[in-house]
Amino acid sequence: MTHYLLRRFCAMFFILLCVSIITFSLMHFVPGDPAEIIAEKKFGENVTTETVELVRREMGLDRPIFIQYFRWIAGVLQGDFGSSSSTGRPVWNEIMTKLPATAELALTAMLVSLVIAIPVGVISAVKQYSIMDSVSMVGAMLGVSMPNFWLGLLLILVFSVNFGWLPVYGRGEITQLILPALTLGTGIAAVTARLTRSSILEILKQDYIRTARSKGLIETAVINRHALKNALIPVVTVVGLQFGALLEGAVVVEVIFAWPGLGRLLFDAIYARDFPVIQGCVFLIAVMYVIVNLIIDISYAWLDPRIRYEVK
Amino acid sequence: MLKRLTILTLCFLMITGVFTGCGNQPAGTPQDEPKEQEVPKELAAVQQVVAGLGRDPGEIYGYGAHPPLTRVLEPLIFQDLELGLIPGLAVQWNASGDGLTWTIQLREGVQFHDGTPFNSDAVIHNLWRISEMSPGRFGPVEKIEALDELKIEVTHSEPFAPFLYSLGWAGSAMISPDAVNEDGTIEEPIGTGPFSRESWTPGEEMVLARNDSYWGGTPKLERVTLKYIPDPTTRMMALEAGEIDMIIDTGGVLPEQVPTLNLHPEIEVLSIPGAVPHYMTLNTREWPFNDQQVRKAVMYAVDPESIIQYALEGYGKVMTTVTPHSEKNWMHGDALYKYNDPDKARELLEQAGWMDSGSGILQKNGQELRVKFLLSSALVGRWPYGTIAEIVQAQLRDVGIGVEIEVVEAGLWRETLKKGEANMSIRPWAGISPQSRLHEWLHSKGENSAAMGIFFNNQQIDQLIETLLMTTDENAAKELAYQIQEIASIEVPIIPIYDEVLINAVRSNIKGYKLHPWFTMNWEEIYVESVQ
Repeated sequence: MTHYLLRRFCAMFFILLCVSIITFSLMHFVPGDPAEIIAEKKFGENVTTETVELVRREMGLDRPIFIQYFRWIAGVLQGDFGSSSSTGRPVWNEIMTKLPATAELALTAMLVSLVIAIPVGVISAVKQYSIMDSVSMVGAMLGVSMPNFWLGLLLILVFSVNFGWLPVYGRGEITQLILPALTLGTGIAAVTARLTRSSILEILKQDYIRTARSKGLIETAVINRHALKNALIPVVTVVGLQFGALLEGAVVVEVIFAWPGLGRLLFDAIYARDFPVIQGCVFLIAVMYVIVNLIIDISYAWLDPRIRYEVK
Repeated sequence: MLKRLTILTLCFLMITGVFTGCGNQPAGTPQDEPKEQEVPKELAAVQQVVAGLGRDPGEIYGYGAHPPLTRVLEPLIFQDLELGLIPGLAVQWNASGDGLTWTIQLREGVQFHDGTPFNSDAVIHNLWRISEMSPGRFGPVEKIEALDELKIEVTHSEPFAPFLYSLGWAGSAMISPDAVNEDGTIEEPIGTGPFSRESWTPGEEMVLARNDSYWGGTPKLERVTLKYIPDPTTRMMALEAGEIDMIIDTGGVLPEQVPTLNLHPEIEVLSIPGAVPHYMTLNTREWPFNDQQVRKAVMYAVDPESIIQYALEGYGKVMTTVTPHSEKNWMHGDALYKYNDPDKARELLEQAGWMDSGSGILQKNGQELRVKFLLSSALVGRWPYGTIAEIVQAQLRDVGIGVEIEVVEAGLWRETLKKGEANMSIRPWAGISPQSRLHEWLHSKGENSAAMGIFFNNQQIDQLIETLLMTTDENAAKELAYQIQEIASIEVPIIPIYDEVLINAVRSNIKGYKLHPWFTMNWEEIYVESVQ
């Protein structure tokens, strides 16, 4: 296991190095003059050429690109991601103030999705071709097809504007978390539910399920103890991969609900062409993605004791 | 199975339909029905408002508090609702006979929020700070001197007529010298305004607290919270749900939202002509718009009236010259730009040698008259430029010009225009002064000429603009401005399309709000009435 982890950490290092190079290069090769954008941000639209040149020198943007990269990566290794060109605050501080909001939203949405998806998937599989199966699968289809921005606005209209039960936007109270988490969670719940259903159906055909039933176990025990845990392996893999979709979806959901998270920070940064913040956010998201996938891989061993990471 | 699926889908659609249609929102108050007669009510016990807006008021201009939106910081000269220059932190100003020296008398008894006295030293510190950050902002400044505690003198090496407008610009707001770091960056926005910044959570909200010793009298509101809500629909729904009291700022309320908001009995929609005009630009250096006849044909083919009606729901005003209505004293009295005359456009194109090839697109020397209309995705997100471009496309197609619309990312848009690789584009432009606006758009060295890929080069206009910038006599300056506008309408390097109408909305218990063309908030006059 130690060997395996060491190998994975080395791979992680190279992945993140590549991500940093690609992100940095992309930001600097896309059209548009960062110095001009920063100058406009600071002094308004009517900036003069002299001001732009002043900003370019101040920001070190007149140096060769590889020097700019090394300066940036050296800073990153010391926890310094530079300063936001919009607010002037350190990028690290910007990210750290937004990260808890996104983590709260993403984890709640993930929880919402699992709470919906696993029971729905199991029931659909066990009661295959029943009304329940059809209803849940139509629900799943709608969940997959409905764009987040549309569902979010619909939920606000119904529960906030019409009924006045829940707040429209913002963060701070638990009630403010419900609508964004539902919006974000239902989309991925649909995929997970369909996968759980097909995975359980597959497992239910296995010999050990027949054995369990022939032992005289009640159906609930067969499903819960024997089928569900084995059916979860592909589900866990997808849930891990969905973490990326969750962060991607968070960008839209955070904008709609004015949720002050990482997704909105990234959205605003892209809109404002705030390069240091974009680089910092993308890098951090890559780090989170890689770590989550590592955790998922390790969790296989718990779900299926046959899986081992080292040959003895 | 299929039947069951259809029934289920229909059920879902019915349920969502019922939910969205029911609730406590009133059903169908006609837009033109007069709202309840206003009866004077008592002031609410808590004088606080929450305003929603589509951008972070802590960003832009580098102050940490947008001067017009927050009123934390103020410039020396204010602009009234007609955009006339009125005393602000400066009470009087005079130019010497040769126009080189300006004497400015400052307001007495003003303090910054940190208690620092507002005086000549503070103003001189600010003027040099801004000049260093933004060279040329105040013209060719030679020296700035304090004549006494509250009087300064600014000397230019040559006359600079837009000087007063530059002093009144939002980016020229006065800040306490102690709040500025050595490198010119700002620590805290410590100004002289009716409110001070109590807190700012970037990307979320800014809380403003009343300045009890404001020189213009104590404001009625105790606290103002500015909530950054980027999505316009969410902003509207937050106002409907009563979570915010106002939607402020340019682009705060979209024209298409007005009918919905008008249905709400507790919401009032406010609108005035804003100070943001929108211009269509033509690349005068490259084929085919290097031919003045073709540019004029485009002007005649376009109909801004239909653009305002269909793309802006009527919230706009047709521009008749390059100077907008917000600078009406500087506007030429005649409607110089002639629109909506397709026959005249066809005639001009025919005179220029363009013939109908049978395909509907005109041809000359075997080359079809097709142009690229380049749009910035960032601007398309804030204004209905996509629809506007489609309307223009149809109108130009009608006279035989083929238009290909392309929407690209903001950076690519800038680069492509600068390289002269697009034929036309559109953008808003709120200039600092009537004089500098003409320089930025029409002078061969103007910022927009190169940046927007216009490349207009007309010696006569260049000379007139250079003279205009040095003409301090207002009547003489206006005459020059009129001449410049006349030449612009003949040469047509840009086509002014519409003046924006600013739309905001407030809950009906919010009183005293006056919309300003520059979206400057009159927070000191706003108050909350008690809701019965």
